[in-house]
Amino acid sequence: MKSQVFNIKRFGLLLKTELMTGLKKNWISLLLICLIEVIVVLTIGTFFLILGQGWNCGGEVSRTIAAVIFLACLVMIVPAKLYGHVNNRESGPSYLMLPASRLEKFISMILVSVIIIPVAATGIFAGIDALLRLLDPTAGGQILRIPNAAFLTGLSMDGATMNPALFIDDLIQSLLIFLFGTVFFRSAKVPKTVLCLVVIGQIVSFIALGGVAIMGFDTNPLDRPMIRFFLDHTALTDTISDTLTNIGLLVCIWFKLKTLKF
Amino acid sequence: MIQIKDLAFSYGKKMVLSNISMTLEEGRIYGLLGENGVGKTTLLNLLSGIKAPQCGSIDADSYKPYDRKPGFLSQLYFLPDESHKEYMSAYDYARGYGAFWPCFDMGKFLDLMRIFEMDTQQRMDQMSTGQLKKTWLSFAIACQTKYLLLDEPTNGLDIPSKAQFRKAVTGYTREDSIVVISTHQVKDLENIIDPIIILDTREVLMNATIEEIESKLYFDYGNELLPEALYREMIPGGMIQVAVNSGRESGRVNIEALFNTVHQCKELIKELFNK
Repeated sequence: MKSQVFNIKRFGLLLKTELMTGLKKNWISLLLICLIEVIVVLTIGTFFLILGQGWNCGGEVSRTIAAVIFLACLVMIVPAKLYGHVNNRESGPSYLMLPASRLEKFISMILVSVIIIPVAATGIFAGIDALLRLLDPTAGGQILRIPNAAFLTGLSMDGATMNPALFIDDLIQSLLIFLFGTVFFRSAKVPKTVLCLVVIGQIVSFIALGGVAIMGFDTNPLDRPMIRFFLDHTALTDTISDTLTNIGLLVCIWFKLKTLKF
Repeated sequence: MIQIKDLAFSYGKKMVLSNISMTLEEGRIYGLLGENGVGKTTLLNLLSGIKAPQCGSIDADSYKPYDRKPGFLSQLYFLPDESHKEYMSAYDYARGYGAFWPCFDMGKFLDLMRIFEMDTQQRMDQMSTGQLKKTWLSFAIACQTKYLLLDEPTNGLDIPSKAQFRKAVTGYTREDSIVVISTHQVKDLENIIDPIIILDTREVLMNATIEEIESKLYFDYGNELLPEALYREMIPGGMIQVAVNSGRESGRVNIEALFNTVHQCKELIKELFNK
């Protein structure tokens, strides 16, 4: 008798079906996201042509702009596109009634929206980025190099070292945040998630400000032992806080799937 | 078998179902009738596990529907009233998703689509409401599940399609399945639903087979007025009257007249059928 909690064959079928359905339904959106750099390059190049300065697609600047837009679209749009239907009044019951366990649906959702599609999209984006560098001398920079912008690579405060692992960690967290927003909000999923992030950010800022006020303004906050510890061990504390946040988000998504109602 | 015991459900302060108990047996096509808002769709949602009972229990061959275990879900297909679109052809959908239901029969799906005169290569997001309904009905029946719940399946179907639907349900559902069809359009389903469940606000007024109904109620299609008639209505060619059966041979059960009789004489019907 098949397990009611997890069956590898059933899970494989679910994963394959959700991937195929997600791609069939959203291939145009995903393709446009992957082609962001082409759009940016064409836009900037056309702008320079109109100004009479010859073709110039902006080099590293356009590359950085494209990467930022790509990541923002990837994180905000992809989860909603892939799983926006699960709490939709019309199509949600169909998802609930699909013969697979909650655990299988949960793992499949995480794998598809946080790992498989983002990794594939990033690979395609990187491939197009490399191709542009080969085709256009004004694109600048090396072929397969992450744009040198501090906010793209997890910049560690101790000596300003680049740490791609922190960046990937933050990317996963952002995807999980927007995935939770997708299953939590029934409509305007992305705007409402962004709004919540802004509000939470404001609240955290006020609390932090309050903390600094309590500590007093007479001494340099950077000399306080606790703050010094965080600054000297940014990678460690960032990893711990991100891991805990990601676990919290996974738990929230799990419970939202468990309590889906129509 | 599905056993429902003392089931209750409310939306906030509004109690929709209360003290509902019944047994649904294998090999039957149940017609679930009732006025607007009595809880037909809610009952189907509870039977399928979409909603959780607030009181009472539902037992479907030792499964609790709200647990939504794969073993139960693979034996159930619930088709809601509102059909949603998928962004692929009907054939691709059936080929991809049919595999989730162990007894899904692609041949039957293609047969049913042929009966409904539907093109399996047509994309579901480009179908009209009626076409989408026919596609979902074909898929639902082709899943060959033990429990098949259909909420207003003939809504949106044209007249020929309703006849095709009757043919599909009687010819293609499993012999041991429990089919529950919720409907307002009783004329569409006459001759295929047996037993008939009539829900009222918060209770089951009737859960009886056609044979039981004929033994307890008398349906007269003559022109002579019956003084003891509980319900009377002019129909093309004459009149239909419904009275308590005192040993006479009843005419064919007219479900619409039955429903109106039950609606007008609730206490008497409850006494007759729930002894």
